[in-house]
Amino acid sequence: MLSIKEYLRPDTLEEAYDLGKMENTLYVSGGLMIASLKSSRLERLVDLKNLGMEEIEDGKRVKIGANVKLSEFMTNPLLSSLNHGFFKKTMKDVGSTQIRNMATVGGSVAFRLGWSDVITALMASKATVELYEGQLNEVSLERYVKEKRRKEIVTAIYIPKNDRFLAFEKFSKSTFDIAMLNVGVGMNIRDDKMSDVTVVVGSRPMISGRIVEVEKFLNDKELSNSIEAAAQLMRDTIKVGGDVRVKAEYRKVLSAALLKKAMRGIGDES
Amino acid sequence: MKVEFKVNGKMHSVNVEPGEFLLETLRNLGYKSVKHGCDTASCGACSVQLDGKPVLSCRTFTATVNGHEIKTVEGFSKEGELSNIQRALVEEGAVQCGFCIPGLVVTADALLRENPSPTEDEIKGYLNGNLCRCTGYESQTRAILKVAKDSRGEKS
Repeated sequence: MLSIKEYLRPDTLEEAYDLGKMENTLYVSGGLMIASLKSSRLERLVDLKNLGMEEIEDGKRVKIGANVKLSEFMTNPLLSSLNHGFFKKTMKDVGSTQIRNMATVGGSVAFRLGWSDVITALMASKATVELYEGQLNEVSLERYVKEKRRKEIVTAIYIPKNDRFLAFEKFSKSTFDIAMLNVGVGMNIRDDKMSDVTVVVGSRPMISGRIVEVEKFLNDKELSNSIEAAAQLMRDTIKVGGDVRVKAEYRKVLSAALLKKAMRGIGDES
Repeated sequence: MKVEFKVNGKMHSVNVEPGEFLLETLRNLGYKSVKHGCDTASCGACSVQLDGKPVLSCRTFTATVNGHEIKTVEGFSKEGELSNIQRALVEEGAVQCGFCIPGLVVTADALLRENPSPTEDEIKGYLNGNLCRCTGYESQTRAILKVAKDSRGEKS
C-alpha cells in the first residue's frame, strides 16, 4: 500500500491540471510506475482516467490518446499496421501481457525514463507529444524528453503516417526485463538508398536520444554497403554510462551490434 | 474511500485506503487465490482479469477498479467442477507447488478468448509474464494447446 492521503478523480483536464499543481501530488494513469514509488513525501494522486484521452484517430498523422494502453498497439488495426507493422512487432518485446494491458502510452512518455523502450521506438518514428499546461501545446518527443517541465499533462501522441521502415532492437536478460540497451532505427529506402534516417539509442542508461553523427553518415548511402561502417561509427561516437546492470564498454559494443541487427532487419523487410 | 466493483459476478462495496492495491483488497475479501509474489510487477502470481484482460493486482490501485469487473481463479470452477484449463493443467502435470497457477489460469483464459488457436510460440509469448519455478513451462504449454484443440473439436 502507498501511504497517501488522497486519491482524486477529476472529470476535466482543467480540474486535473489545477489539482496537479498542489505540492507532493502526482498524476496517475496506468499506475505501474506510481505503484513502484517509495517516496514518503507523496500525499495525493490525481487519476487521469476520467478524462477520456482514449481515442485513436486516423488522418495525415495518427493521434493516440494518452490513456491508450500499450496492448492496443498490437490489437488495434490502424496502430498494428503502421510503418509495415512496426509497432505490433515492437510492443511484443515491451513488458509482459499484463504490463501492456496496464501501461498507457502517455505514462510511458511522461516519466521520461532512461530505460523506456516505448520512447526509443516512438522517437525513431518522429512522434510528437501533445501537452496540457493551461493550454494545449505540441512538441517533438525528442525535445519533450530533454526539457524540464513540471505538472504538465501529456494528452496525446502523434505518429506521422508514412512509408518509412522502422526497426527496434533491445538486449535484456529476459523478454520483459529492463533493457541493457535499446536501439530504434527509421528511414526511407529506395533502391537500397537511405534517406530521412533516424537512429535512436536508449537505456544507455540515460534518456533515449538521436545519434546525429550516425544519421548524417547514413543519409544518401546504400544500406547494404553501410552497415559495418555505421556500426563502427556508433561504437566510436556514442556516449554511454555504466550501472548495476552493465558496464559502459559493453553498452558500446551492444549499440553497434543492435544497430547492425536493426539495419539488416530493415534491409530484409524492404 | 468507497469503491464498488464486481468479483466473479458478485458485487462488493468496500471502504479502502487511497493508496491500497487490488491485491490487498481481494485477499482481505477472501479471494486467497490471488497470490502475493514478487511485488515488483515481475512474476504474474497476482494476475487477475480486469474487464476480461489480465492485469497485475499488486500494481493496480483499488480506487481505479470502481465500477469495473474482476475475475479471479475462484470464478473458474463451478460447484467443485474444474474448468477446462484447470483440468488440462492437472492432466498434463503442469501443477507442482501451485503458487503460479491461479495467475496462469486467468492469463491463459484471456489468451484463448483473444486467440482460440494459438501456436506454441504465441502461448509462450502471451504467458511470458507468468513465472513458474517448477515446471519449465513445457507441461503448461501442452495443457493450453490441449484445451485449444479440444475446444475446436480436434483430437489431442
